[in-house]
Amino acid sequence: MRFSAIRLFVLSGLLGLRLLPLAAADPKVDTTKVYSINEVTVTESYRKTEVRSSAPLQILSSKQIENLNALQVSDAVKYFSGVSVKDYGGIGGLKTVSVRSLGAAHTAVSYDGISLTDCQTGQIDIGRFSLDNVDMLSLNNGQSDNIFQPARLFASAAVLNIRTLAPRFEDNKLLNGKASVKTGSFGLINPSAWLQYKVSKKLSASVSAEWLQADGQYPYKLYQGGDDGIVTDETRKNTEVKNFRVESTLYANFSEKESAYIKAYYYNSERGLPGATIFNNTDNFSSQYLWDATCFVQAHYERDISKTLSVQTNAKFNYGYLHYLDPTYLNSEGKQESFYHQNEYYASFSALYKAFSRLSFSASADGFINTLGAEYESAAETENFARPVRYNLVSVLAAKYVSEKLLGTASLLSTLVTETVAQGDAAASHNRLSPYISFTYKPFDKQDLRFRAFYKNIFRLPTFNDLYYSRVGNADLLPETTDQFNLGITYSLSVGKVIPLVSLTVDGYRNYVKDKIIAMPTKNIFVWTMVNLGKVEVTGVDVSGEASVAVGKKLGIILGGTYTYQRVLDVTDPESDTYRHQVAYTPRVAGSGRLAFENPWVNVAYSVLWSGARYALFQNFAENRLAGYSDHSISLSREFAFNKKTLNLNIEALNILNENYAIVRWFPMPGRSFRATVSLKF
Amino acid sequence: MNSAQYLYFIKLISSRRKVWGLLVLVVLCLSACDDMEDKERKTNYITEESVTGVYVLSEGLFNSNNSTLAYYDFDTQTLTSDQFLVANKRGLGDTANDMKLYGSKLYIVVNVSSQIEIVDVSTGKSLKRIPMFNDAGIARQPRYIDFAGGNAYVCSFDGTLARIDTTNLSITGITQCGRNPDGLCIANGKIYVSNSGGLDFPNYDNTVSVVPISTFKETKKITVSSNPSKIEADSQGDVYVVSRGDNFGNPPYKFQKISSVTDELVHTFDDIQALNFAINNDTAYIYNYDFSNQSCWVKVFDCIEEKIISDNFITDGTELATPYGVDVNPVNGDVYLTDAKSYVIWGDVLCFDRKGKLKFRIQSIGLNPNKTIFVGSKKTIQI
Repeated sequence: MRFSAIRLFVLSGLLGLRLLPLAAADPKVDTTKVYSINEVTVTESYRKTEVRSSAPLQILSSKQIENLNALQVSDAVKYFSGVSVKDYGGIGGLKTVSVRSLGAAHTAVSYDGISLTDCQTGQIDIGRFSLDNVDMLSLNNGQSDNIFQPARLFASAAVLNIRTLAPRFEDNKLLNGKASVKTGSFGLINPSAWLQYKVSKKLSASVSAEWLQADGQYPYKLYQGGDDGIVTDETRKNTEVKNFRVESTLYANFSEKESAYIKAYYYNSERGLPGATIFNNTDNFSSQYLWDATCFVQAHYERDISKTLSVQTNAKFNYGYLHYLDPTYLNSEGKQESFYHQNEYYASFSALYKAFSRLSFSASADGFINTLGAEYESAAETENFARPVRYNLVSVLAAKYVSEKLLGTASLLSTLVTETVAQGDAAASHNRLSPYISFTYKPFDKQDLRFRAFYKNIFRLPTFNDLYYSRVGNADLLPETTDQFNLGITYSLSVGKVIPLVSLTVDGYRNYVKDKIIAMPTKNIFVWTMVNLGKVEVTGVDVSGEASVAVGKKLGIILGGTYTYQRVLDVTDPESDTYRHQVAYTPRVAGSGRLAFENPWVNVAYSVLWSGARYALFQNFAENRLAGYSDHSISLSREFAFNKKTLNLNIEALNILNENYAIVRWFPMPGRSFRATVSLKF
Repeated sequence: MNSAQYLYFIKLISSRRKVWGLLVLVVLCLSACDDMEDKERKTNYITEESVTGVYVLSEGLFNSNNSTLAYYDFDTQTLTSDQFLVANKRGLGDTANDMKLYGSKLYIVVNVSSQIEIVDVSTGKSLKRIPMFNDAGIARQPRYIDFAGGNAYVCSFDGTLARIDTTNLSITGITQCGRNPDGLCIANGKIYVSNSGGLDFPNYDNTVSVVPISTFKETKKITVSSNPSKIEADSQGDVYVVSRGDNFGNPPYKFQKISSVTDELVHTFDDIQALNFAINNDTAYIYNYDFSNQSCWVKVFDCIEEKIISDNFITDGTELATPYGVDVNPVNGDVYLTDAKSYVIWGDVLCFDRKGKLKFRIQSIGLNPNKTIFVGSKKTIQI
């Protein structure tokens, strides 16, 4: 089982790094002055959006993110409820996000309204996204209440939206900018800068660039015999990472009714892939290396043609490159090496028709093409690669009803997919309809108490790895289907000036996953194959709460927290030895908390993540148990304003209890570490 | 919630003090909710007269550090899931692939950890751990072990054969054989090493290296069917070797015989498509597993007559899901077959008497159990 297990491991995990885009328009949330303003106002406006949403929506503004002691998008996403981020540890380690235990391939990630995708692995490495120029992160369970967006954003079980800073010029300013340098433990050096320039009344441009490097060699303890056994002190090796990102956007606001942007994005990284920490061989795989690059151009155009009709169109081209090398592999070539190239060509058109004051309809159609090419260390393998091309047409019809008391949306999504291959058998074409319905009801005029519910049926297609990966792939796979049912209560309250906001959302849910795609040794123990086998039943509760307290104008406390309880059971086969066992890597309980104290002297932010125990394998045996953990971080920051410029100093202490934990077994997370940031904004 | 309850609710949370009280209450409730409990593994009560106990090695799953050495004590009817862990306060490591008893010591080959663990058979305590790395620090990845004349011989995926002196437990020589060796045995003063070439998929190797013990240098490569693995000799010096082909039935699994006199492939038993086998007293127990339809068979082969003497060893209808290892109790000839089930859950060991009737089953012994060793004072045993 070892032979393909090595690569399988890589393909299911560490290769998961390709992004391709797709399109989406932003929900028209109150974006007003998110970053330069009174914290309470910001929190309040976002929190209201969350509370009013008919399907759970969680938002983190840039200001809130600042208080989370987060470096990468993945660090911040861990603070959402119902989310599990699979984190292989360290800056370079793969990080993917699974929402309500449906699996990472069911979470779409959008970047400025257009989907990122990876048709090879089906999951996005959210560790590669910096928070430097992020204005807002939001997570939709089910789908957004905004029906005027590209069809593809209706086509997943959950959507993580990354929105970058758009230019906003105050007074007569023509230029905004920020430069910052971060440095910290494990050789972290991270300079970044962005500039926004007002070209004319209608045009503005922004550019953002960033370099990040770290040697990542953090110490950890290797528990070789459980809690009572031998423990050795080790250092994580082969962890160096170097990333470079640059992106530039041109924004046009032709009029109140017409706007557009075009964005170019480039990212590359090279990094060591630290393997599992193998007993007596911790240097195992300590020379595997990965180089990857992503480059895309995406454009968005939106126009209100009349009071009742609006249209938008989106387009994107994405190129992804990945090069994997294991120079110690014991084959004749003395190495295992692969190169992958993937392209996506994408176009989308959407229209919104406000038929009545309370009722509107939308239609969207997205067409896109994905291709994947590969070269391996052996010519024979390269020759055998399928070189698949997938043609997708995703379209949706949606309706939305809004009144004071009731908000409801419904949509029907159609997916048509067909693919061709140069070698072997192509996967079958698929033609599916996926329904969605949601509503939220506010029974009382004077209290912001709402009841909400949604149902969504959606699927994820088998990835190119699932279908065509050397020896593992199985072209007969069916899509993996999910059904989600959600019932929730949201409540928000303002208690005078001192407690401007208290809010609470509680959602209970039941999800079913069927035809789950898993690897099984069906041909031979050396040859694991992807099969549709597996049913999962998820019963859970997500709770999130937030409160702010203001004392006078200058003192403020904000606290927030999330809690998730999930019973994630394998219900595949009543006869099997894992029937109704909790699925691997899903804690029964998990949560997060944050507390920020704002004052004129030194702002303090504390954050904590915790998780109950999990199992690292299918059977819920004590031997498979992975202990729970908590990770506490604290930061101090102070702003100095002068000459219309702001200088910010920030010091963070991460994992202050130096807890030696792992999210993925044998992939330890860093212990206590520090970061310092100096930034200048003008 | 009726409107009276609702009003009470509003009143409750409208008072500021109670807001905080409520929050504290919520936090307390939530943190006490982890109701996830370990499931119990099945308990087995088994008696067996011939030996005092069996060690069962389980290789675990790749990159999971969960190889285990279980010990079932027939006298006390207790299973120790990992005697190695109990005795040494550390686990065996990753992918323990092979184990043999020599004298009073168990030699355990740990493939991915790249170690040979030498263990006192009576306690499970490690006497010595031999790291298997080349001069550049790259893991050799040992696979199988066999013994002759006071030496242990270990073949490794890096194409080498190592010699370990069993008195001072140190490596005394390393010699080259073919690509990715995946099996070895000793006959007629020579070491036979199966060169699988498995890491060169799809270009497997198809040779067996011959290394005389005296010179410890390869003298010949015998061509066999592609991807040779399990190899074992009978008392007459005939060497039987299984070739697994490309694992897609091209060519199909082969059961072949090499003469240790001429060092030639002398026969291929075309009617026996074997995945694995074990020989005891010149009787070979051979099994196959067909991955396409998840079916298997166990046959009995007479190494003297060189023919199948039973097409269906299991006579009582007992079904094996996924045979993963076969060993014979040398005291009474009982056949122990390990069942890896789906490879990702704990497997069982099944004991059959010589007539193919199930005597007992030790359930949930480990992940991918692959080797059984018989120990006990009731008779001196050497395997």
